[in-house]
Amino acid sequence: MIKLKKIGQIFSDELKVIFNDHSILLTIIVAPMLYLFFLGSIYLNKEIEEVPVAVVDMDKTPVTRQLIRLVDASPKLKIVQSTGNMAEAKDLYYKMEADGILYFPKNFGKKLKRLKGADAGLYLNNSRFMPSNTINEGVQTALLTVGAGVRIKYFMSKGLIPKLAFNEALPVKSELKPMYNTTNNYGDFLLPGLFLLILQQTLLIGLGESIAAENEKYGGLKSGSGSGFLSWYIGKSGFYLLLFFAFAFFTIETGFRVFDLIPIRSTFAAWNLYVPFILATVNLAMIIGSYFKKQTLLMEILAFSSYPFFLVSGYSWPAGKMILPLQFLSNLIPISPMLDGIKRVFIMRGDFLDVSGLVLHLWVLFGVSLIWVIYRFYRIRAKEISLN
Amino acid sequence: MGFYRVFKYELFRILSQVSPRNIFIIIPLVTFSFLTLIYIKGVIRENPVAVMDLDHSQLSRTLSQMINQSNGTEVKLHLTSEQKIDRVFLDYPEITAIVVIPKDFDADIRKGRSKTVTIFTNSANIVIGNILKKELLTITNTFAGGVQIKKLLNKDFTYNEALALVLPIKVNTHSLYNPWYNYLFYLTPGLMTVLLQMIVFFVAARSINGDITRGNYPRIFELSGKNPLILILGKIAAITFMGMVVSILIIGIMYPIFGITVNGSYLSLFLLFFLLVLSSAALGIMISTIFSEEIMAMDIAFVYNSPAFVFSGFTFPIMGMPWYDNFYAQLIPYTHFLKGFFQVYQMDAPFRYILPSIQALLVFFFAGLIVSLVLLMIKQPKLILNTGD
Repeated sequence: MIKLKKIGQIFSDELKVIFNDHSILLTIIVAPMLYLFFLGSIYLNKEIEEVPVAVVDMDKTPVTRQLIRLVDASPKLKIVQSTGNMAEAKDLYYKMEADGILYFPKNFGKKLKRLKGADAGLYLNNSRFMPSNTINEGVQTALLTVGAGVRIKYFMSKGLIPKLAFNEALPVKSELKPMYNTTNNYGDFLLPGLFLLILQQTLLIGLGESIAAENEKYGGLKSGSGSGFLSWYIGKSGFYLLLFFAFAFFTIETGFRVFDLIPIRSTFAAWNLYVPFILATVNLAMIIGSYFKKQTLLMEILAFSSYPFFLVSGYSWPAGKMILPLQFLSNLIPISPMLDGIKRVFIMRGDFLDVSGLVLHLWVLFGVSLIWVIYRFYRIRAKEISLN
Repeated sequence: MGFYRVFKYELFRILSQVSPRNIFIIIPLVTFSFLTLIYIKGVIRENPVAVMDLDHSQLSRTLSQMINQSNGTEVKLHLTSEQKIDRVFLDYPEITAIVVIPKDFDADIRKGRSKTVTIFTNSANIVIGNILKKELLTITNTFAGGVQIKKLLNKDFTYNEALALVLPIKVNTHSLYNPWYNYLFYLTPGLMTVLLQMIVFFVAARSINGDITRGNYPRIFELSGKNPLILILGKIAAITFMGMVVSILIIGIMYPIFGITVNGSYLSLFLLFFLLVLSSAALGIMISTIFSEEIMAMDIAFVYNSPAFVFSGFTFPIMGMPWYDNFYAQLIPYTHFLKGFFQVYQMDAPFRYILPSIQALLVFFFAGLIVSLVLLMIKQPKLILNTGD
């Protein structure tokens, strides 16, 4: 039976615990806000500009100089050095002050003019994909444009009018339209996922610590003594629920807008995901916390879980490309369906029907974890009674 | 002798207490294996693609076949003209790109009219979006080149002349070190090393305050010959020793098992790992002397270390971050380690190029050491008094 007075007492006791325990306070209030600001601001510029490229021009003709100017004109690239000496370019490259080297051999201009197939070399530092991809795309685009120009000029020299020469030079064109994240930027892609990960981890650690601390100090759930499960459950989790629903409200209504993410189409769909997600995470925190007899031990273990949880969720690397046991594990963690849902609602601008399966998934996780929490509650209480 | 006694004491503490033992043994084994298994397939191949062929001609079918035969893509769905493009990615979550071949594609090209193939990628996931962008543009450009060559051959060009006109500039791209864009070789080594920093930091952050809490401080102070510098160095040495055991696990066991090859010198790599571990141990000890509550020190360690990977410039370059994030990134040893790590692990750069990383990591070590020493000397009388010596 639910006793409101008992709930109120457990709730106020939990508030005292939170405000007297610097660790929990830091984890659930300071850390989320700090992370939201810092991580959010990393991607404020969203796209990288002026990726450094070194040029080795062994030809030094007007043609190569024009090509270098064209590459440099790309807002995403910056020619940091143009030299006739490969060793100088390599020096910059090894210092990681240039992420690629564009190489024009001798007689490049002559071959291009005579249409003998001029070869250029592009050496990319592929140890980090993002700068390497940006250079590759920028240089290829510039040189393909020049190539098309050469062909148009050739057909015009054969007497075709410009329009026909263009058609002859480019019979098939490709137009790329990246959907949902039109500029292919990291900010729009990563931020919603990172924000959700922060919420999950801080909630897991904060509430988990509170329960583990009770285990450590009193050898059981002191907050649950003399109350039924439901009163304890509501009282113990009440403040965390209020706080994390407030964070959810902030991310839906304000946070994502501050960082200039696309406004969502369906707030209803977002809340349908957030509610079971936060409830399931509360249960998970209670379950994990109940198995720890030391607050510090729980903190240590959960601190190392952030990367595995995020990466196994399938948000960046598709879960379908992982081995089967990991795919199975991924489905058991609330953040996995949540991130999939958030991607569909926040990035792909879907509505409730587009995430209904994921909402159901989260409610199933909530239901199963609740049964586990009930089991742990009565098991710990039985132990306490047998000890007394 | 004092140094050795503290070293032995600290090593015994690490191996006998549950918490540091878990962090140094269980956590690396579990997390490293876990992370590696996530990326075990390394390269995403055969991404499901939908084709909307509005022409149904021989030429459009050829393009469709080329998409299907490519390693990176596989045609999984044929769309009709009635289907709305903006619903496809929501209705078929497995589809990662849509290629639209326009009506009269074949006929218009034959008549000398230019036609456009439109590629829609689901860039809600940038990893997949980028792979498909590259893959599909390569396919369509190759296809376009083939069409042009065929047209020129019909106009009495020789094959070489046609090729030279279609590709007046040929860019020979050399994607060095990781040409297949394998995520196992790209992300996993970085994730392991950022966790290494965190592992060492966490153990060190509870080293001195833990001794104080458990009343062991006077004993270890005695062991050090009542010399705070020896005490700190002994502790750092023991934690660094264990950190190097984890480094050997990474370089000597995890890398070979999962086929991750080091292009540069192992000696330079070990030196960088050693300095990362050493500087993290010194900074952790510093936190341990500042915060007397162990849990608080761990919280600080958590807040400081957790975003290290994101700030390091691994996935998003530091130069693209606002100045304050750039500044914060410089305050994390991992940022400096990472540069040297890339230079050795991937680029096989000569030793002189990793000197800036070495210098930066040494600055962290000395900063941690000096602050710890000063704080310990200030707190020393109180610590001895409080523990009843």
